[in-house]
Amino acid sequence: MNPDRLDRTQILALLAVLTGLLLPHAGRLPSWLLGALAILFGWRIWLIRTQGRMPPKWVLLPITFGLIVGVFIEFRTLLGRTGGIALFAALIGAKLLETRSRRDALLLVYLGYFLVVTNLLFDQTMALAAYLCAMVLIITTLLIGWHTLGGWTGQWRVAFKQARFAGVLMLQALPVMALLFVFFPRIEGPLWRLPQDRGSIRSGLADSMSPGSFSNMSKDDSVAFRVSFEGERPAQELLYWRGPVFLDYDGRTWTQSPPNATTSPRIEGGTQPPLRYAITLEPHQRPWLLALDMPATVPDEGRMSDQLQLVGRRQVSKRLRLELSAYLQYRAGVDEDEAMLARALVLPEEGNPRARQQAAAWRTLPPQARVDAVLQLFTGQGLQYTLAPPLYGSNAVDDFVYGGKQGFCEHFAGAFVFMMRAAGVPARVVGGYQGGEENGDYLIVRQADAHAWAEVWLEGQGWQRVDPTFAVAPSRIEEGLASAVNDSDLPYLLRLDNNLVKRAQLALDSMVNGWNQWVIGYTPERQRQVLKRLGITDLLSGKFVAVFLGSIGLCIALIAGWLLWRMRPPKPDAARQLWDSFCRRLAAYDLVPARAEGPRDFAQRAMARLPQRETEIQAILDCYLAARYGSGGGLEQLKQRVVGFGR
Amino acid sequence: MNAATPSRISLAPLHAVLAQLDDFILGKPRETRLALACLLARGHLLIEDVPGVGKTTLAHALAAMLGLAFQRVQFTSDMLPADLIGVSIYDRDSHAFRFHAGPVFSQVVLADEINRATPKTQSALLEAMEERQVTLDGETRELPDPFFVIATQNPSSQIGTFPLPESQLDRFLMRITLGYPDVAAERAMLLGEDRREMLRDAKPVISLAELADSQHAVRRVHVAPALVDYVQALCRATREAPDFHNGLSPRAALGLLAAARAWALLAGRDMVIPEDVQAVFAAVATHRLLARASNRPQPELVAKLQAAVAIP
Repeated sequence: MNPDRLDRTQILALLAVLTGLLLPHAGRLPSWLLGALAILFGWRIWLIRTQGRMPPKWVLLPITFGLIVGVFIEFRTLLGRTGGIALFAALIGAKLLETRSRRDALLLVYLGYFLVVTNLLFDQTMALAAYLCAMVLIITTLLIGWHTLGGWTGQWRVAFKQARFAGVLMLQALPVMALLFVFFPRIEGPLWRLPQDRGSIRSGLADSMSPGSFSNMSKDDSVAFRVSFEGERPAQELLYWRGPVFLDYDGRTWTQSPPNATTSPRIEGGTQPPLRYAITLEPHQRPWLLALDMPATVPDEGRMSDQLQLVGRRQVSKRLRLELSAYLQYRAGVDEDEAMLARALVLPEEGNPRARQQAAAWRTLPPQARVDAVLQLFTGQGLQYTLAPPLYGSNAVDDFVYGGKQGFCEHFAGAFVFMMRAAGVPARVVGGYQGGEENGDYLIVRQADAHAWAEVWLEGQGWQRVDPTFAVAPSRIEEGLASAVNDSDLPYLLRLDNNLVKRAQLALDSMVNGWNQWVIGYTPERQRQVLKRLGITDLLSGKFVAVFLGSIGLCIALIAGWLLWRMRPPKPDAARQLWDSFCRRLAAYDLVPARAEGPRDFAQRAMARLPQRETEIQAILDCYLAARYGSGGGLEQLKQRVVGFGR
Repeated sequence: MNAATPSRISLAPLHAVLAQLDDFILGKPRETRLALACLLARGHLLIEDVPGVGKTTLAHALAAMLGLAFQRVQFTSDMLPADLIGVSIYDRDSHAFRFHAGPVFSQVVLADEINRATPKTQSALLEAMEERQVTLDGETRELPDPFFVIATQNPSSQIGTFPLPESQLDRFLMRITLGYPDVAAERAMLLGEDRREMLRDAKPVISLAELADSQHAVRRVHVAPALVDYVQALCRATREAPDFHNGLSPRAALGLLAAARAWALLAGRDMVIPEDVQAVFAAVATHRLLARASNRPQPELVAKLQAAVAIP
C-alpha cells in the first residue's frame, strides 16, 4: 500500500479536529454556509464508507466558486474578520474533497493551526483558551501520528503515548510562549474592528435615575468590576465607587448632565497618603469610569469632569484595567463655581408640596444642621429599606416619606437631595456602587452592588458625601445588600449563606479575574510599563532586540541542555576513570584502544609496543581487572601505579 | 599470566582434555576449546559445516575423553520421535508394558545431520534438550546427568534438509563451524594415525566427579556489574541493529554469560573479563541472529556488530 495514501481513521480524525475548530465559529457563520459545510463533511465521510471516487475538478471548481460568491454576497467582502473566516471555512470544506494523500492532509492540519488563531479574534475568554489548547494538543497528536511510521495503529495505548509526546512538546514550548507574550510588540488598537459582540447588551448603571432603576439591578449577580488594593483594604462603609452624577431633576427622573471635562474643581487630600488600587472594569458601553470616592489621580485613559467624575476617552467597550488612587478623606470643590452651585439648587416648579414646605422651614438653620434635620426626619418617619418598594405617584417624595415609607436607595437619595435643595443646600445624586465581596486578594463588585447616594456642598468643606440609606439601614452599607433585605429574594450568588455552589463560583471568578488581569489586561500600556521596569524604553532599540532574542535563545538552550543532560552516559566508576587516564598516558606512544578492544588485548598490544615497561603495564592491568571485574578492592594500588606510570 | 585461579579445583584434567582433543582435531584449538566450554556451561552444541571436516570425530572424541556414555543417532527424513525417545512394549511375562529407552537416554547424544529429520522428530529432541526429561505415556523420565547434545548439520542450502526454526536454534548454546584445516594440519592428519582406531583406544582423562566439579566451578566464576553492563550493551545492540530480524533473547543473554564464565574458567581466571565475552560471542550469537537480507546467519555482520559496541 502506498504509504502516502490516507486511511479512513486518519481522515476521520482530521474531520473531527476541523469540526472542533470550526465549532466556536458556528454562531458567526451564515446558516447556508453551515449547511454547505455539513454537506461537504458528510460527503467526505460517505466517500470513506463507500470507497467511492473523489469528485473530479469540474465538479469541485463550481462548488468552490459558488461558495466564494455566496460569502461575498453575504458579507459584501471577502476580507475582514467574519467574512474572512467564512471564506476560510468554505475553502477548507472544498479542500477536504480533494484530500487524497498525506501531503493534502498535512496542509489541512496546518490550516487547523491557523483556525485556532482565528477563534481568538472573536473571543478571548479563559474557557475558549482552554478549549483551544486542547485542540492544539489533538492536532499535534495527529501530526505526530502521521510522522511516525504507521500512523494510527488502532491502539489507544499508542495514541495516548503520542498525545503525551504532544503534551511534552507543548510544555517545552511554554516558556518561549510566555516570553513572546511579554516581549512581542503589542499592536496599538485593533487590527480590524475588535469584539463588539457584547455591545448590544448594556448592563449596569444608566445615565438617568428613576424609581426602580436601581432595585431592578439588585438581582443581577453579574460582575461590574474587580478591584485589588495595594495594601490594606479599607472598611466596607468607605467603599463608595463613584459613577455618574445626576444633577437635573424633572419631578420624576434624575438625569446626568453631560460631563464637561475642560475644568474640574480642586481636590485636596487629607493627611493620609492616597490609597492605591487597580480596578478592572467589565465592558459597560458607557463613557464613565468607576473610581473609589474621591479620585486622587487621573489615569491616562480618562479625565476628571466638572462634577468630580472620571470620564473615559471613549466608551468602555472592552475590559479595561486602570491603576488609580483615592483619598478616603478629602475636601473637594471648596471653590466650586457659582453656576454649578446654582444648578445644584434647581427644583421642578411644582410637586411634593409637603416635603418642600417642611424643608423650607429649616432654611434658618446652619447648613450642617439642615442635613442632620433631614436625616432625622427619615429615621423618625420609620422609613424602610426594601427591594420591592411600591410605585409612587407624581408626588414621589411626599408619597415615599409621608406615605408608603418603603424605598430602595434611589428613593432615599432622591428624596434627600430634593429636600436639601428645598432647604437651600446645594445637593446632587451620585450613582455608583457600594461595597463589594472579598474573594481572596481581590474584591468583586457586582451589578447588585449598585447604589445611589447624595452629595451636599457646604461652605468651607466643599462637596461632602451623605448617604441617607446608611442613616436608615446601616447594615446595607456595613454588611452588604443581603443583610439588609430578605435573603431569599436574591439570586444565589448574592445571598449570605456560603454554600458549595457559591464557593465554586467564587473560585472560578478568582481564576477568571487572574486571566483578565494578566492575559487580557496586558495592553500596550502595561507592556510599556513592564519593559520600562527592565530598563527598555524603546521597542526598536538594540537593547530590546538583545533582551527579547537573548531570553528566547537562553530558554531554548536551557531546555536543550536539560534534554542532553538527561541523555548523558552514566559517569564511569573509579576504576574505569583510572584506566581511562592510563589510556590517555599511553596515547603519547600512539597507543589508543579501539572501540571494542578489551583491556587485556589493549595491554598486550601496549606491552608488545613498549617491552621496556612490560612489568608496569602488566601490574596495572592486573590491578584494573581485579578492581573492576574481580570482586573489587585494590583501587588504591591501581591509583598509585597509574600515577606512577606517568613519571 | 594471571595469578588468580578458581579456588579448590584443578584445571589439569580440563587442560588434558583439551590437549587430547587437539590431537584428534588438528589445527582447530579454538573450536575444541569452545566445544569444551559449551559442555562446561551445560549447553548443547551445534556443529555446522560441510561433510567430512571432522564434525562427528569431534563429538566422538569429546565423549570419549570425558568418559561419558555415548549414543549416535543418524537423523533421516523417515525417522520418528519413538526412534529417538524409545517405546513401551507389552511384556508377556510380567503382563505389563515395559519401556525400552531410546538413544536419547545417554549422557552424550550425537544427533548427526539433525536437519535431515522432519520437524516432528527435531522437536522431540529439542524438547528433551530444554527440559532434560522425556514424558511418554504419561510418565516423566529424567535424562541422565550430564546430558549433552551435540548436533551436526549441513549448511541448509544442501538438498533434502529441514532447516531448524529460530526457536529451536535458540536451544543450542553455541554453534561452531570447523572449516577446512590449514595445509600443515591437513598434512599431519594425512600422515598420522587412523582417527577411527585412535578413538577406539582413547581413554577418559577426566572423571565424572571432576567434570561435575568443573561445571560447578563455572557458576562460581565472578561476574562484576561492569561486565553485565557489557553483556547488556551487546544484547541491546543486536536488538537495535537494523541488520537482523530479531535481537538476542534473554535466554541467549544468560547463555552468553554462562559461556563466558566457562571460557574464563578454562583460561584459569576466577572472574570474567570482556575478552571472555568477546571470545564466545560469535559462537553464541551467530546462529540466533538471522540477517534481514539473507534470512540466514551471517558471521561477518555479527563481527561488525561486536566491533561497534564499545566496552562500557
